[in-house]
Amino acid sequence: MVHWSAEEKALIASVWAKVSVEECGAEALARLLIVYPWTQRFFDNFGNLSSPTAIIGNPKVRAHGKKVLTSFGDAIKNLDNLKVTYSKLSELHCDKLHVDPENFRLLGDILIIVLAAHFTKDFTPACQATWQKLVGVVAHALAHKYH
Amino acid sequence: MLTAEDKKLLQQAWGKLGGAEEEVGAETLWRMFHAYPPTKTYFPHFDMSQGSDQIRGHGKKVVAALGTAIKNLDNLSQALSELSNLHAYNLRVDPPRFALQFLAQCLQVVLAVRLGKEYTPEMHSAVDKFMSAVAAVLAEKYR
Repeated sequence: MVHWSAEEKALIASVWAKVSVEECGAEALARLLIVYPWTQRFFDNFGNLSSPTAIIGNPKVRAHGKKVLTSFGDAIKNLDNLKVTYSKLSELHCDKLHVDPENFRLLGDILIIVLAAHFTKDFTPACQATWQKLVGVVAHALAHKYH
Repeated sequence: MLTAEDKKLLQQAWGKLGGAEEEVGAETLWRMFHAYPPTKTYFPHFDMSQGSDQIRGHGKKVVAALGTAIKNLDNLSQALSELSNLHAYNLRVDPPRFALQFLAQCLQVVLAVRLGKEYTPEMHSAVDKFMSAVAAVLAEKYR
């Protein structure tokens, strides 16, 4: 089980309290599809993904981004119980969605960059270190049920 | 790999640093050491306190090298040839640590912190591709 210090929990909570799940989720997913275009392979039915502008404005991308980040919020509420919390989601990503877990790492890193652009200097090195740990642990939990 | 548009965006991004290269370098390294402690193993001789002369000096060197690379995007292999030798034969930094998850991620974060909304997805993409290209050149001579 991962250990979280009081300081780390505080850093996670303070950033999360100020995050707009809809905006940041949409932006993180859009950036994933723009910066790593091969990830578009999972979203064939999303319509127009032909340019950064199209991706950013795509309503399905926005909606799905919000869904993904909302789920991330569940992780934050269950930091001491992540593998169980994400058990079904992990099975889904493996068995139905067939997503290579490497993509979880990519999305996690992109989320951090989105937070950095959003919070600028408030996204301190200590904040980043804690959040890198968090996205790593979330990615690990999501990959846990792969077989 | 890098399109004409990417090259333009890179030059723009670098231009926006406005002479703060040393700070950008130092902050990138500091964030990297903090978020990815194993990267410190390559610097056992460094004073690791925040703002140390060694971290600032080294950060400045790294960013200067990246600046040189940006001025020579059509000829990265040659421009970074000596650094490539250094990393392969002397420093022998574990290649996956180049490829680069850690330094590049921290550089991206520093750029995002400094540029905020101006750090557009297109710029982010160009920098990501650039850092992959640099990592590939630096790892060329490993074996």
